[in-house]
Amino acid sequence: MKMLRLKGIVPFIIFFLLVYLGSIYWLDSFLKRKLAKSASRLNGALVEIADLNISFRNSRVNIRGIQVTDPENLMRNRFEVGETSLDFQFLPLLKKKVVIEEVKVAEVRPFTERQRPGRIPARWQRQWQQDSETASMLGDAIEELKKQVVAQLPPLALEQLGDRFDPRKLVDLQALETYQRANALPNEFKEFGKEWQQRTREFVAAQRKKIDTYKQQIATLDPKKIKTPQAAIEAIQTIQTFQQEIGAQKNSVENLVKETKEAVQVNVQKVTDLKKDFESDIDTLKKKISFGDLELGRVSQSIFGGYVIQHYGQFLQHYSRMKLWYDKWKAAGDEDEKPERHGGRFVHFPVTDRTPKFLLQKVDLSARIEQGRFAAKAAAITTQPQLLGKPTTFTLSAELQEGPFSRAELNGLVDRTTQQNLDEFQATLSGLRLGKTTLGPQSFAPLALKQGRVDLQGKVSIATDQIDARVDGDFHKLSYDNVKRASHPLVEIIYDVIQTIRKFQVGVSLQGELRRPKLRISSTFDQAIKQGVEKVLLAKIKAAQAKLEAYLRAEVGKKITAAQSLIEEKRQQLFAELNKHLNVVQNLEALANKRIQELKNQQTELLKQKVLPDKLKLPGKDNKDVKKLLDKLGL
Amino acid sequence: MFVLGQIIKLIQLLNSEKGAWSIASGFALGMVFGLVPSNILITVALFFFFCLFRIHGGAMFLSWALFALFAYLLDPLFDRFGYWLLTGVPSLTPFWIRGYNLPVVPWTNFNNSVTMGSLTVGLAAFFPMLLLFKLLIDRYRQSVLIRLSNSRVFKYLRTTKVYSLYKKYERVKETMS
Repeated sequence: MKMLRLKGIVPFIIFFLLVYLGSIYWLDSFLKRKLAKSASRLNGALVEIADLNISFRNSRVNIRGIQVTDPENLMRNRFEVGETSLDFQFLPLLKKKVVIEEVKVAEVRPFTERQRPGRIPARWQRQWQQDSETASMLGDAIEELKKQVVAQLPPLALEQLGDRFDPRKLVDLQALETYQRANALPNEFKEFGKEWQQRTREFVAAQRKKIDTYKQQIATLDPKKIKTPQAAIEAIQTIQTFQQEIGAQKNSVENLVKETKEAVQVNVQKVTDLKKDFESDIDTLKKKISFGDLELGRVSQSIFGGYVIQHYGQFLQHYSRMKLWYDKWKAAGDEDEKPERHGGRFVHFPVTDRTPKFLLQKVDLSARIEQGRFAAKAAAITTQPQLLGKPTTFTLSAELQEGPFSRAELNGLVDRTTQQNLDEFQATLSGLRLGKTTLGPQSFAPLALKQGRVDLQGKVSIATDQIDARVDGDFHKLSYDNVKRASHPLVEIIYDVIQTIRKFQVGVSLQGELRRPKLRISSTFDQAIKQGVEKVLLAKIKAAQAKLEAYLRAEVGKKITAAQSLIEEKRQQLFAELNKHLNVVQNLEALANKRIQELKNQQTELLKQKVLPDKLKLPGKDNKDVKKLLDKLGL
Repeated sequence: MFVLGQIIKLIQLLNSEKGAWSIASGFALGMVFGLVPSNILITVALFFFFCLFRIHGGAMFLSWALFALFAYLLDPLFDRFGYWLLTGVPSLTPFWIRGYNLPVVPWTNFNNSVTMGSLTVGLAAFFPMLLLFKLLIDRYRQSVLIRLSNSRVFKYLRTTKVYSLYKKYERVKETMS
């Protein structure tokens, strides 16, 4: 029997020709359906393709009539593409590789109306499920940022602001040292007065007896009763003895006066010190009424914080989704389609050409739209970036004559060429028109923008799970809506100040782990608000300080004045008594002096009468001596 | 219907005295088809052999179906064996690298452990299985078939209306051809 059946080759060839022709016919619609299904799942709403045609001869795929439904409005397309052509290389296909040299997209029309709703067929639907890790990362990041914003939110500290204006709540008099001292002084001074009065009186009483004795004795030494010079001399000597005692008394009185003066001075000094300390207390307490510790410089953190958190959340969600999709796509590209049954393992061998399994070398999209121009470029899109050794880059740009912004550009780089995954995005958005936008927490000072313009510049780098992002915004031509006034006086002031700001810059930076980034918002807005609030508050602070000073002077100053009066009164009383006594001593002294003089006069008289040389008729020499003696005595 | 017709023909041929090699090679090729996971290029190549050689289609399809079930159980072994071939035999590595970098060859999925293991086992077992099937067919014809035809059940079946109708159909068919 013959083993070979050469005629059998004919049906084989016919069979495969039929399969080939069939595949050519069916391949187009098969790929069209596959592409529409994948794109719809990715878009979240129906993506329709009118026609797809593959030409192996020209190595080209032509796609016509792509409609991408807007998931938020199913009767509208996000955009419509008239013609798309893909130039691919045929030979890599034989090696199980897809290399697309260039994708050209033309006739792009955004926001076109749809004839029927672009709902994804139920059998195509597959919800993008956020994996638990992404969800937890998102939750952690939002919580962390909220903590950072709340921690620096000044309005929380404003709750006690009303107390700062009330002197009674601001100052606890019982705890104020100067108040305690002022309270204690009157009693102290009363005691002092009593003690020194007692001492003075005892002193005076002791001296009075002697003074009276001296007076009486001086009185007994009446010159008229003195008959002889000798008696006069004796009387003078007696009074001179008194004079010494009187002088000693006078000295002790003067010493007492001096001591009293010093003691009074000590108390006066106490009052002076108290007054000084009290003035210092006033200054210190007045300084308590200030807003320096309210950190108004961080107001922008609380106003823009919520907005930043919201957008960071959205960004993370989109980024995680994109990353997940990209990683899955890359993983799918890395792994060959496993055979059914147990799948097995694929062994990869070194390759002689470094063409990845999927490579889209260049995408060029340029569209003229009604409002302006839109362009997109991308390069090196591949499932095996490490093999290609080039990162994927893309640029999107739009320039509009009319519309929500005037110019936008986004440059991106997705680098998976090394183990260190790096994604970088740079975006510029000029002339973004703001409509009615409310920034900031409603409970604080809502920044209710009526209209304005913003120029934004941002750069985001994500290396593995570390983010380094910086966005700068230049807000200008701003006007505000009237919103319900805040209940708190300071918030109201801040709100009033905000209304006057016509332009400001904001810089937002996020650094650190994607899960726990450190948020920092700096803004000229802070400075403007600070200056405005300070200006308004300065008057309020001054009034509050005056009120506090009046209160302190009323409560403490009154007591100090009373103490001062009391010490003055005591001083006067003491000195009145002492002076009076001193006068008595001085009078006694004067009396003694006067009596001595009188006695001397009397003695002279007596001498003149009784010992005149002529009357004595002394010899010539003796007479001369007596005369000389009398001259010496002044007689 | 084609497969069912082929199986009926197989029973007829099995019960005749000719075509033992054709049936045996059908079983052997079906075994290879069944063991190797579905892959377009390998299927095309095997189908080419099927068309080129006198191989009984019914035997091949029957064997394909039976060995496909059997192969599912053997996959873990094919995986280990194929992986060893791909990675554990250094002398083969240059051969695999060359094949890996050639056009078309990567489409065979030869670098998959299950594909490699099952294809190698299938091809290696082809000739021994061919001889075994031939031997089994001969044995069947010499002993089992005679016993069966003399059995009461078989004799009873020949008396049934269905059998007479089938015979008539056969005669008409022969006349037509």
